[in-house]
Amino acid sequence: MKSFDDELNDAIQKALHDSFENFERKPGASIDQKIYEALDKPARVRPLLLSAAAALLLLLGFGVKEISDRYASFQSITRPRATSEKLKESDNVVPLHGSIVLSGAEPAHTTKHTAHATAARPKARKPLKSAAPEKTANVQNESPKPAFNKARAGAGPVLPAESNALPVHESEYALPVQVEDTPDAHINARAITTVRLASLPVDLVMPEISYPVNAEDSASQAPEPQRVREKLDFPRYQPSGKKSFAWLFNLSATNTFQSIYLLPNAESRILKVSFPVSTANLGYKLSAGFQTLGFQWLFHYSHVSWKAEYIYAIDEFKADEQGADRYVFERLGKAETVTSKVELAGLGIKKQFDFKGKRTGRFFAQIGADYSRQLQSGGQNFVTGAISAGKILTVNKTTDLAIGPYFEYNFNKVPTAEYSIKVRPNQLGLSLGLRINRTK
Amino acid sequence: MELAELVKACQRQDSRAQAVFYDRYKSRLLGVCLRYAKTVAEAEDIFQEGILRIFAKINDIQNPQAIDNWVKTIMVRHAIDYYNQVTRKEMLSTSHEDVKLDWENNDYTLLFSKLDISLLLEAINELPDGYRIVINMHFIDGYKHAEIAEMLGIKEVTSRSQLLKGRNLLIKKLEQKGIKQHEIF
Repeated sequence: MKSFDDELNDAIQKALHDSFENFERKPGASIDQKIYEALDKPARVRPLLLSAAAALLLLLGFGVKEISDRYASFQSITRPRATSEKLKESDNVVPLHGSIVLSGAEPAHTTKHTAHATAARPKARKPLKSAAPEKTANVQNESPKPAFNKARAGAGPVLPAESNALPVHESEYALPVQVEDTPDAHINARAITTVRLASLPVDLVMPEISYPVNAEDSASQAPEPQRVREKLDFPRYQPSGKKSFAWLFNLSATNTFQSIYLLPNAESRILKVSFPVSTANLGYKLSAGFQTLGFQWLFHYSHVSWKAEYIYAIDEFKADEQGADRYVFERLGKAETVTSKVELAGLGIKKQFDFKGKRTGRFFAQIGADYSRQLQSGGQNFVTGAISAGKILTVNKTTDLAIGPYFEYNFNKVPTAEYSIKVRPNQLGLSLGLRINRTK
Repeated sequence: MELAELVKACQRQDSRAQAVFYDRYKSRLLGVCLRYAKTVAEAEDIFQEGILRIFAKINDIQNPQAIDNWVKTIMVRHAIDYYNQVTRKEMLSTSHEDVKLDWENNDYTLLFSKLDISLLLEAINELPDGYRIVINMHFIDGYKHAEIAEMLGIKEVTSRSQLLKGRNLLIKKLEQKGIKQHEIF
């Protein structure tokens, strides 16, 4: 039963609603004029966006040119070297990295197979082979057995005159055996007794170990042994130089993680929201710019998309009996999947921190903020904060590749077609960056 | 031009379509602003900003048939935003005495039935910000107290309390203007 207050409220509600339902008031001409002028303004934003896009393309074009120039110069350096190597080979000169095998470790009965195998190969590439399998090549410093000597004696001067392999000498210095994987080799593997390997004569300065001759009590005078502690290789911060300058090109593959805000709405009721795993959540971000004084200035273009499923309540209810005097009352709903996508262009600034470890190499961490504007008509502004960290790989003297995870937090809530729903599309992904260093 | 075509043209930022769209809704939306605002100047400010907001968000519309409600909802929300930004502090810092009505000798249920709309609007505009907003949202635009509480960032109890106090003050103001329940306009 309604109270007097409720009755009065209902009466007032009905009266006011009826009175104001079609209440209209025509705005003055000055207001119309202001609105028309304001509506013309978004068109002026276009040149800004176009110029930003042109700058982005220009930077990307410059990057491509820079890379192609470097590739051309790299080729001009490497080409003569390759030519000279070819010349050496044709002059029957053994290249330093040729597969030279110095070994006489072939038993007499395996020589036949080996000779047969080597005869089938092109002459120019005929090294003296051992039938020993690769595993036995690791057997070192065993004293030669009679079988070994016999085989070696039988082999004699095994190098044909036209071969470009080095002649075999009974040298103490032998390189590891490189073996063809032939069935014969496996059969005769046991016959190989040893391959004597020794290091090539390299000047190694050995530390001199001496004892104090005249010391009465050497133990008491000896310094206390220092405790050798292995230091942890923490990468250390490396401040960027004041004259450092670099061109930057980034590509980030992103996945959208949404926060959905459901606002009050008299017309729609949402029972449930779910986030399906879908390719519709994937996006990307292209950036180009420069770095100076440790700060990165980047133009960027982003494609962000996301998908969500909403269950809208309908005016149907279900009651399930749950034993005596108990039931579960449920409001039914209708599912609707909404996919949204926005294209953004804007400008960002980031601070990069470089770290370097002795053994672990170089790392980076970034923190920054972007300002973007939606490219679609009537677009809104976006302000995002981004963090990234990862590994820096050196491509060549001036070019680095930076790769690492990337997270972008969107400070703005994006309105959707349903006014009562707003979405905050945050991005998580992998960033790949190319940095071309140019010192001023 | 059909409504759907008009909306699509506006989404393409067709200036002619925008003008047609504006002409279609301007009177109705200014009416909404006049209810929520304290003064005509304030209403015109809200109206201008709200119109631009509508055009900024028109790309989000997927069902052009629901554009009428959508447009009105955006304008109401913009008026509330304006209120939240500009006058919220004023509302929170101002306390209003509860108006006592003579329930026994008067039947107020008939008071609003045949009132002149300009008098009603004048009385509503004179209400303090908090009362005016809640009365507009609940009595005219049909929002529930839970929704009002959420949108204004207040408690539901506060919304109910504001509505009752605002209602009583509105009745009092109408009485002060010489309007009684038996008067018929």
